[in-house]
Amino acid sequence: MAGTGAAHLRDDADDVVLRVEDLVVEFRTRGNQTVKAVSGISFDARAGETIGLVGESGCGKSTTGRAIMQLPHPTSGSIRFEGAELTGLEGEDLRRLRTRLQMIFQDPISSLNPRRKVRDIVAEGLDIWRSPGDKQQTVDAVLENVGLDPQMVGGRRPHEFSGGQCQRICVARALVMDPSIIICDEPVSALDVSVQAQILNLLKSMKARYGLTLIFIAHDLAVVKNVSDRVVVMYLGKICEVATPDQLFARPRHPYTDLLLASIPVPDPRRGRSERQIVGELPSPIDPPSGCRFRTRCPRAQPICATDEPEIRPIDDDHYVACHFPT
Amino acid sequence: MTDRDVALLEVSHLSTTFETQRGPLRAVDDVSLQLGAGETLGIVGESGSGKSVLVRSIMNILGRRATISPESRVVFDGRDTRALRMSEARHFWGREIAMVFQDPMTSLNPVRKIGRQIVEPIRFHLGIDERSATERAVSLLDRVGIPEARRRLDEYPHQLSGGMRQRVTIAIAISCEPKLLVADEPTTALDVTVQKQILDLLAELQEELGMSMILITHDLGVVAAYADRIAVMYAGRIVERASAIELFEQTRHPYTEALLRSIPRIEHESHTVLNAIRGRPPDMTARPTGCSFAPRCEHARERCREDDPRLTDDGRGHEYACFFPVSLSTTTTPERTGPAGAPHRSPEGAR
Repeated sequence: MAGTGAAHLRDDADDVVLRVEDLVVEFRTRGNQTVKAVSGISFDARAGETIGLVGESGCGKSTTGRAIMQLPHPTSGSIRFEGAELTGLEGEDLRRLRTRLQMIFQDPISSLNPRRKVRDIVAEGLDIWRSPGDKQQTVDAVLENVGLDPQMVGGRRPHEFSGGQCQRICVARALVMDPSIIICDEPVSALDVSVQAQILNLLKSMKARYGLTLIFIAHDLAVVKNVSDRVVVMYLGKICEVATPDQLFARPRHPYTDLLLASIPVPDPRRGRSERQIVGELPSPIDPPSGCRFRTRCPRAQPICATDEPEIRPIDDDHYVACHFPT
Repeated sequence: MTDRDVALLEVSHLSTTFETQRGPLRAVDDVSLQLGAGETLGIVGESGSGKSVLVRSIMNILGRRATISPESRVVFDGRDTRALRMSEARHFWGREIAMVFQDPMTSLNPVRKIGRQIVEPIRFHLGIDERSATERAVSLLDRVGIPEARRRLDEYPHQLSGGMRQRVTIAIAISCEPKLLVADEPTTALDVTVQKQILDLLAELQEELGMSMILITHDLGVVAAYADRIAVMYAGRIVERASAIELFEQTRHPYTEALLRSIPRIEHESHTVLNAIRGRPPDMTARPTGCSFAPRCEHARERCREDDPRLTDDGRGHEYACFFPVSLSTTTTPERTGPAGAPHRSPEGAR
């Protein structure tokens, strides 16, 4: 499973707003061991695109999202955003640039300050960065755009709202800064099934309205397929496959993607259960397998997979895979 | 094979109320259900729909804050469980009905070794000696797919992954070969590949031991693949119940239909329009009059806001609580772009 390699990166001339190259994020444990959370991944996003980062717990998708925001600074690698290199920036320069990069988190209720009123929460970024002028008007317009009535909600506090409404407030808080990219880290996984579609539809329409680029991080493959223009599949800190969603789901080429798709219970009783057996457990990111990181669980693994790490290579039109023996 | 005509579990008119600061909250409202031997009943619902309170009421493990109404009856294997004394109930739980919960980290004791946590209930329920109980624990851990089972007896829960911990709770649950296994969101905290491993394991064990199972989940995909019959709950009630195939292919309740149309599905193309359900589930302390789903239902009429539809059988074992059920000619073919389409209904369905 590799991840190293940049065959799937696109030309800067192609309106690329974000380019992540050879990103490495490592953490020290108390026992002075190194957790290799993200190990040399690259991907890019064109203006107006939604990039889906998908994978199971421990694959490094959230770490990648945070590394883009420099929370914390990555161990190595390059992150270019609208032509500026983010990794070397510090202090005010970084904070100023970061207003153009916003984030939405999984648990909308805990990401809002319970003591503050909705209007103040949404206005905070403006208070810090803009002159007071038409602040009120901007905030009201954004609240309205996310489907909340500013007169009704402005003076209330987060606990008076449901999870879905709190997520709308989080979207408003991100939008008010007029960002270019919003990183959405599992934005619907804490929400009730009947409310998820509301938020997904909201993100889609806000994307169109504000001309946003989205980095959409999620574990739910059906959600990622629905929203993304390009999907990046991750496993244990590496990228295994990159493709358009329809291509990826119709014909997964990496054995891990294949396994992931076969694991999803489909809401169709006639399909029954997939017969696929899933072996083994996720290896530790402290001591990941040599060569391809997926080889310990891969039904197609050969000796070479333990010695040589597969590089990402094109396998079809706009379809890239990091595997010696793709399916 | 199993004899599904004789009910293992029969619940009638079960209602459970909690006292809250904002007044009484009827979490489960007049629910009746039957479960045959060897059968798997899937209960689907969103948070607050009452699905967990329902099974906890059946097992009578809710504690003092909850009141189960006097007309509620729960008959398990011919015995009225509501009449059990505590001393009897303790042998009932675990031995006759066992439960697997959502979060294995909170259902296992973090400061006790795994071996003790399996051996103790075996000794309590089966009255066998320490050595045989330990051997049984090893074979159970082995059976649920835990490698190096004997060594694990001396480990603590935090030394295992989430999937392995859930396997331990399953080993404990099946240790006395219960007749009924209640699994309350057993895989919600787990990754999708681990979820499949755990659900496949539960299905295998069920077959092997001839257990009945109640599988509670919010995931329609999970019940489609693993349940024989499915009950959909909304606001404390069962609003639709049918065999798995009937429920998905001949959906009658607008809530079930709306849920199916709102979830992103892997078999649909990317950027398929999702038909979101407006609003949110009702505040259970201030339930609307009439049908609880009416405020969110695209097809609600006057009558739905006044009268309360009861769960009624269509004569073929498909039950639904709706005055204006979805027509059977309904198609749920999605659109890829453009505005959300109006639901397709035939005139009879709308009458």
